[in-house]
Amino acid sequence: MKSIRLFLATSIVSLLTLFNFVAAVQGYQSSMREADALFDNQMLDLALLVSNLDVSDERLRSMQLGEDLAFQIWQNDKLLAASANAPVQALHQFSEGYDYANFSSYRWRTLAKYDRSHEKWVFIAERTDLRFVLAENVVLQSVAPLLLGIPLVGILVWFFVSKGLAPLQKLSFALKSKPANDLLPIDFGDSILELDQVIASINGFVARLESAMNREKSFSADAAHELRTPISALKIQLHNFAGTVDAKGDAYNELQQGIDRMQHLIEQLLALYRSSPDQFDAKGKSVNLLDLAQDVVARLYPEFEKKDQQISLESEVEREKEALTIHGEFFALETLLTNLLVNASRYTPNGGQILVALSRKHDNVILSVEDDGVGIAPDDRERIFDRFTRLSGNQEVTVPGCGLGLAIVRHVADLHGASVKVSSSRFGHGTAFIVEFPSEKIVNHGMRDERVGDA
Amino acid sequence: MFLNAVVLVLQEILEAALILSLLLAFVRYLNLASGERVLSRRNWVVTSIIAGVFLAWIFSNNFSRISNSFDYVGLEITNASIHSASCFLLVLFAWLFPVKRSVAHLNHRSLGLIFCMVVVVTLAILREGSEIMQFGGGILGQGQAGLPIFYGGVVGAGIGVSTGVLLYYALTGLSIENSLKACVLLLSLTAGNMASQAILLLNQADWLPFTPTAWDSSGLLSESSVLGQLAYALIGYEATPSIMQVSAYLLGLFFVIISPISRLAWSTWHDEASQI
Repeated sequence: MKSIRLFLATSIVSLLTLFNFVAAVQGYQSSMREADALFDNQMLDLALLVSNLDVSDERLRSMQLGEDLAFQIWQNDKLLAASANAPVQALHQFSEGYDYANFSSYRWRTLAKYDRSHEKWVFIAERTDLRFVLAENVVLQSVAPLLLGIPLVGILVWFFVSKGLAPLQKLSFALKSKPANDLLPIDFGDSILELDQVIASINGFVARLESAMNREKSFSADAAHELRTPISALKIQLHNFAGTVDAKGDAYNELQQGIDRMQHLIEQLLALYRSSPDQFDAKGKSVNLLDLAQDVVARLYPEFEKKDQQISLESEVEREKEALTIHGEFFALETLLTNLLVNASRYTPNGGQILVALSRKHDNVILSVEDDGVGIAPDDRERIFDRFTRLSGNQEVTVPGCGLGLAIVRHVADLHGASVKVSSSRFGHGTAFIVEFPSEKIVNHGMRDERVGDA
Repeated sequence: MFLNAVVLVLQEILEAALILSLLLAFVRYLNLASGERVLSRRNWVVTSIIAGVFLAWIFSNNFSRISNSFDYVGLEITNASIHSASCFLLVLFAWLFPVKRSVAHLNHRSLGLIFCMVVVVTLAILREGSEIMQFGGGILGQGQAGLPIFYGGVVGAGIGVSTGVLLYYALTGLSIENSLKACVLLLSLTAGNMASQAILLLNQADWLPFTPTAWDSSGLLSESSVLGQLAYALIGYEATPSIMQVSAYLLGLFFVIISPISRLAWSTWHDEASQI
């Protein structure tokens, strides 16, 4: 069943049509039988009337009862009188009762009645076709409303079914328009017997979800936050330790790298939770992506220089900087670009190229980060955005990282109503991450517009 | 006049509506069982209805030419061919029906299944539609006198279409296993009906010799009653079938019953799935 409304409307209308129409056919059949009996009784009345006519009256010979009726009066095998349209021979056997006969190119219903007092036979004939048409027209008068009523019934059924399903539609709309970070119970107003249980269950789920999320939120944030302090202390201690003894060997370097990785992981974990839709409650403002890209590239420049990588920034609409402005959260966007660039630098060999490009497509602003590194197989392109996902290529093992960077990118993009696509880069090999932002619009859950607030 | 029109239109509409409902129920079953919407419903239904109406229009426009061919038995021969082709395609459909619960298996056969369904529905609409068009043309020429016939046609069409809709909902309202059983049963009866009709038409055209009547149940259920029409469309009921008709009916039934789809319907899907 695709649609409850369609199912209810079509099945109700079909049932009504079936029962009404079958009833109409049955009604027609029994009414026609009744009408037949009625016409037969009329013929009997007419026979009694005709038997009382004065057969000696000459005018009787040319008498016409109408084109659908004929009569004959017989006595001792002699035709005493007949209507003008009657045949010369007897139109019925000389025995009382009803029958059919064919004459004057028509089929007739016939009746023979014996008048005992005058010892006469009275024969009456009535054309079946006219009598049938008359009966049918009368009967159909009662059948027609049943037929013509069905389209009206169909419209009414559709209307009432829609009306009946309206609360369900209202609930579905309320659920659909609920922001991801809104964990308040649904207030549905009127109590509806069939929906009360559903709403109570949904509100129960929401409440349980909220408490679970609160627990998870506080655990992750607390754990990450609490770990920051000992790691900072550890770094200071390591620095001091390096000053006191000659500890510049491999073990020292590995220890330092380990601590750096741990610090990075904790920072990323914090960034991930801060950027998740249910956490995010930042004020949006206009952010120029070209300015942002220049800042981030400048900040990360030493990283690229270390690997002898060539970083370039390209903008199609440099003269119109306004065209590259979007509405969003500055620090989240900075994290997005930083993660993309760090990622590109990591998976691009020494001396490789990295390109940040900004352009506009219709109303949208497109930010892309391309490299000529190892590239990502098409099958893996969606998986890389999952948390803690690191591809199992040979190089992956040697490249440091925690598998959270791209998950954060996806979160930030989602917050800004942007899409992230992965494709091959323009360098022939390597990867291109393309983020498409809706221009100056907030399509986001939870992000408040400062300008609206200021107004 | 009214009653004649009811019976005539009901007979035509009911047959086409039941075949369409049955095949739609099969498609729903396939999509449910494979867990994917492998066969799109709208495309093939629309294609077959348009093709059927178009062919019916051509057929009714060349009615006299077709009647006069084959020594004035052209109509019977054409209808017998249509019935035989429908019977063959229904049996083929039963044999092609995928018995394994895998999308790949279904995809492999979907083209054949769609072909069978499109042609069967097109032929049903051609057969029934051309007669309704002939009938409709007759009413138009009668003016006011045609009103009872028009009412009769509307009542017949209404009963036919609503029965088709309710049958579809009844078939799809059953559990998936029972739905398949009911569909297979109706499919075999429809195939038998088509075969029996083809024999009757060839008898009428004198291409096959008449054989004695197998039984006479007209006292029990008249073919011209609404219930008789329903039974005719559903199970191919005839009050006075000939021995040859009964044999053809049983043969059509037999070929569907020995097909893999019947084995599937009467074993459970899980048994079949475990054999893969």
